[in-house]
Amino acid sequence: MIKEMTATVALVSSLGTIGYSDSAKYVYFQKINSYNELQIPEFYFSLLKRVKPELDAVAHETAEAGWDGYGALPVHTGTVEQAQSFLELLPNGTPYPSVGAEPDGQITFEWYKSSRRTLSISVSPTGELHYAALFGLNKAYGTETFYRDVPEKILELIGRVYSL
Amino acid sequence: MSSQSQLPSLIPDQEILSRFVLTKNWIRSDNSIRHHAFMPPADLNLSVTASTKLSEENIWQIGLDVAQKRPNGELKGRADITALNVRSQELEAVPDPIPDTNIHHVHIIGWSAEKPLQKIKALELADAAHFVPS
Repeated sequence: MIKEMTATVALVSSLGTIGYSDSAKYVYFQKINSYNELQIPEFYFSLLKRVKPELDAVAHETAEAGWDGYGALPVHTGTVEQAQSFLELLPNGTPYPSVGAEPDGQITFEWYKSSRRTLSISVSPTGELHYAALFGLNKAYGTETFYRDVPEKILELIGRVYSL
Repeated sequence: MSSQSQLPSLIPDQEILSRFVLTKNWIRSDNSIRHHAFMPPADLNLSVTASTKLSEENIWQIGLDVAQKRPNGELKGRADITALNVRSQELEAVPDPIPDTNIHHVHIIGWSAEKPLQKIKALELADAAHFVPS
């Protein structure tokens, strides 16, 4: 339980820009964890361990040009490595994304609550994070670069997908 | 194969534009469509088929032809949007008939070269899309 608290507090700390009190953030991410049906033992699994099999499957499926039937570029090993690095840097307790690929050969991570509450992040081979999100009638899009840590903007957007 | 009718140079707003889905990765478990289905290729011409005047049989035959181009291709279904959905994103649908293969072929054009702009428009199109399993 103490480990669980520590991990959650670490996540809350990294999301300090959201603008809620510490206690509100704690309750907020407990609800996110409930949403993802996380059980306590599973909480200790790293996000990478949970998502890596899907990343590997997508990498395998998209390794050849034309994998989408429309002339898509292949996803190269360097891009997969960047995507894995990004996953490794996400704080424990971050909701699990689904993995995909785009026709330019970039790996994507998607956080999805509904079609109007969704965030997609593309990881380029050079470490750029191109994001686009729908929050009801509002939208957000842009580019961030990651190196050694995940940009606060990205963490804020992930939290916003699951905000109440 | 499909048919006699030629597409008008200006595709009407209500025309249904079908994007064939060839990878399960474009479909969520709730059968909603991921934005990946509508991300433009490098030439910024997104291929769809104007399907309003086609029979179901003809639509799926075109889809099967498209699927054959993919290694181990399997047609999963199609994502249907309208030309109005396209124009709502400040994009345009223009006829691009492919003789002997798909005279109902259409390109969605007007994409920005900027990746985040492509993504946000693809998200909006995916939100508007209706998935029809094959």
